[in-house]
Amino acid sequence: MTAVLYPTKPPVQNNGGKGGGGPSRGDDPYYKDHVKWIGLWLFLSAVIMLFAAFTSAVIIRRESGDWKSIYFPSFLLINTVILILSSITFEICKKKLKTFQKNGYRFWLGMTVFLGFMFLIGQIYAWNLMAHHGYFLPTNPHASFFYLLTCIHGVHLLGGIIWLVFLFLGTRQIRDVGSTLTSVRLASTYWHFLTFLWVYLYFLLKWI
Amino acid sequence: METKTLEAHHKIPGFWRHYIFSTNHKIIGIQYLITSFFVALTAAGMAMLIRLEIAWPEHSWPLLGRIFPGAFPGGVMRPEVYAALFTMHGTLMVFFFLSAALVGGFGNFLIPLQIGADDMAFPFLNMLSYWVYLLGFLVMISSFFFSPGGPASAGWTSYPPLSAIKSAVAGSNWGQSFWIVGMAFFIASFTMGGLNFVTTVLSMRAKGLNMMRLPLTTWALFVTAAVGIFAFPALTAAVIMLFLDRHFGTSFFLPSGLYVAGKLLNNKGGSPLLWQHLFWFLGHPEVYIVMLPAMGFTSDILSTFCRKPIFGYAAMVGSILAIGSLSFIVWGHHMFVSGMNPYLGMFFDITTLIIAVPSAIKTFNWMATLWGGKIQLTTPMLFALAFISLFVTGGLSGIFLAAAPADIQLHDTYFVISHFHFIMAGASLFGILGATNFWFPKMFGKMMNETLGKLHFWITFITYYCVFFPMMFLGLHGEMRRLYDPIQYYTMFKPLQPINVFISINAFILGAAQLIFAFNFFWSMFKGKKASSNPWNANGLEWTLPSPPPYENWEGEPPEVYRWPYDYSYPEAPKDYLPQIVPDKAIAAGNF
Repeated sequence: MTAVLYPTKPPVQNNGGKGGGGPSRGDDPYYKDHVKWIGLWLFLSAVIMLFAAFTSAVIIRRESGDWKSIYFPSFLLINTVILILSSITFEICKKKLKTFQKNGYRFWLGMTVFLGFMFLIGQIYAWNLMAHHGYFLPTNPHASFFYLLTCIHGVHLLGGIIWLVFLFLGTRQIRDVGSTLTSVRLASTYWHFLTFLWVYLYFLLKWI
Repeated sequence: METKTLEAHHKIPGFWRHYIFSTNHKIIGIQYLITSFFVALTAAGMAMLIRLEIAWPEHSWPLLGRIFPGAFPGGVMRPEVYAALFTMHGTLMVFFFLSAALVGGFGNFLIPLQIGADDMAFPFLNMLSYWVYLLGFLVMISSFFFSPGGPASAGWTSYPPLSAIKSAVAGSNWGQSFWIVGMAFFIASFTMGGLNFVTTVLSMRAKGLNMMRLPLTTWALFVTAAVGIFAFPALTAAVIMLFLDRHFGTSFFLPSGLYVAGKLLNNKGGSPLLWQHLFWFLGHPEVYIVMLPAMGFTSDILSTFCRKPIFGYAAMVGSILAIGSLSFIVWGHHMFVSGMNPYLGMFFDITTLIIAVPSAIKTFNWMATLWGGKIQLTTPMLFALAFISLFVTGGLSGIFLAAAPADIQLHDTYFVISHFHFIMAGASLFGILGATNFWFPKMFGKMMNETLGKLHFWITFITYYCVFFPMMFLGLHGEMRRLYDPIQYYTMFKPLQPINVFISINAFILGAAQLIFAFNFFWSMFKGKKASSNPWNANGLEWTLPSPPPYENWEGEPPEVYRWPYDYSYPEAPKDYLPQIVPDKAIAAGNF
């Protein structure tokens, strides 16, 4: 069973020099994967640049006199753990797919979606806590950045959840494990990226 | 399985999927190009009104008063309208015309054809990119009709506080929000396009087509797309924060102690300069986004019509990469007068001057390509030559502005207007016009009319210099940009006013001359002479396909490439050109 799961042909890394030409290239799954990976990483670099821009804004803005540290909900630590857990469950899910345990794959994928949702609900709860302590979006610059960055990160994570839901809906009929595995790998790269991003934002918002 | 794939390749969708919601790169490219020409015509019309006001300030034009009773009460343009016009002229021209035509239009049309691919890597994303761009343009233009207070008026750079306080000026109200939303759509569209271009060039090149065999057009578009992906997010971040400042009371960009109409605002501690940093972190690379593709077109057109290989290909590629990467560390030269630390100013000063090196390498290489060539003065060639002229004029004036001590004097004067209308606006415009004349046969299978093309070229070229060169003298005399009435309140500019009248008259001729191009474009599309597959005897892969190319260019059988696209006047070849698909064996056997 497992024999079909792994590429029998090495994936096309870069066709530079020799070109990737040939009549069947467009239908070659390995070649198609290659294209998707480039696309994903380009997208991620745009997201990295977006958060780099926000970071530089934080650094410049905190130089002005009215920067005050805010109440920082300690609940966010739990939320951080939830998101890291979701990354771990995603890895387990990937393992299950590789060993063709369909039910396990579905369970752990569902678990990842669930934890992602929990994280988003947790973020909204954190906003509530902030508001409860009198920190709203315009209250002070630190609070503004808190709401802004959590919101933009949350929107990206919501996109990730939608992607995972589509993957989950596709689990009913897995014909070609190879291509499913690629989709799952792409999604997991995006998901881990968002986990890293959140950990970074957590430290940025807490200690800066 | 095999037959099924083949059938899929030959399937052309119905009218709606083919011409309107198309995922085909050629159709999307043409959609982009024609839309952006429409944008250019609109924004050029705005420029005409701006010039009318500057040359004859507060003069009453009864006809305009009758057509636009709101904007021209009694035939006199309202100051708010003037501010809205220069804001929208800049925004539409820079983003929705130049960027869209060069990258969206030619990038889409040419990249797959020049690299031997059937389509882009992500065709659906490509379609989305066009429609989101169109939506962005519609949002921008609708602010003229639906926004109470009129369109945005804070300049195309939208500096806060003017852009961040709703009650600052009439256009700061709804108009600025329209601007933010329109720009957000544009950024999304450009990012989708950029993703596609970079992926396509990296992974879909035909067999034998390594990176150092790519036409310089593709190289330039490739680097442009990458620059866009890395630069635009800074503006995304900035417009999000601007939006929050405007609508949710935050103080990212708004400092303390601002009074509007006698009332103290609540905002505290924000930094208007933060916006300038973020805006120009995109803004300067954006200049190269509209410059690099035009450089690429020029290289290809020059080589074709000199019947000579491009001089210094590797240096050209290196210069494109150098310009693309240096563009990220020069943004501060737009802010020399913002009170920046002189040491930081010196850094930006030096990095900016360094860009002159790759630019000069390119210019000298173009010159060397011309040297000893069998020059054919076709319309595309004339535009390519004019590109070099405008590029040098604009580039040399740029050295004045790069030097902080000179810039402090020249900042915000007509010298700057002149400079960027030569290098960024003008050179790119001539690049677009040259490329349109050059690739039109491939797009529509018809030739554009050469007589009309040359007439259009000469009027455009001469009046372009007449419009923008005198502005340098205005700027050296200190006349500021964006003045609604340059003589009533600044009497020292009164002696300069005849220059403004001269500029405006030439501007009207320049504007009218574009109608010749518009006529030629649409007339040739239907009535033009039929084009052969390779009317210019050029070498690129796109010229090996019929004009216009089939729906799926090579229909699943990509070509094999044996050489770079610049083998003109190759010694052993029987003709003075040698397409990229000809192997050496075929030449030896006289098989070509």
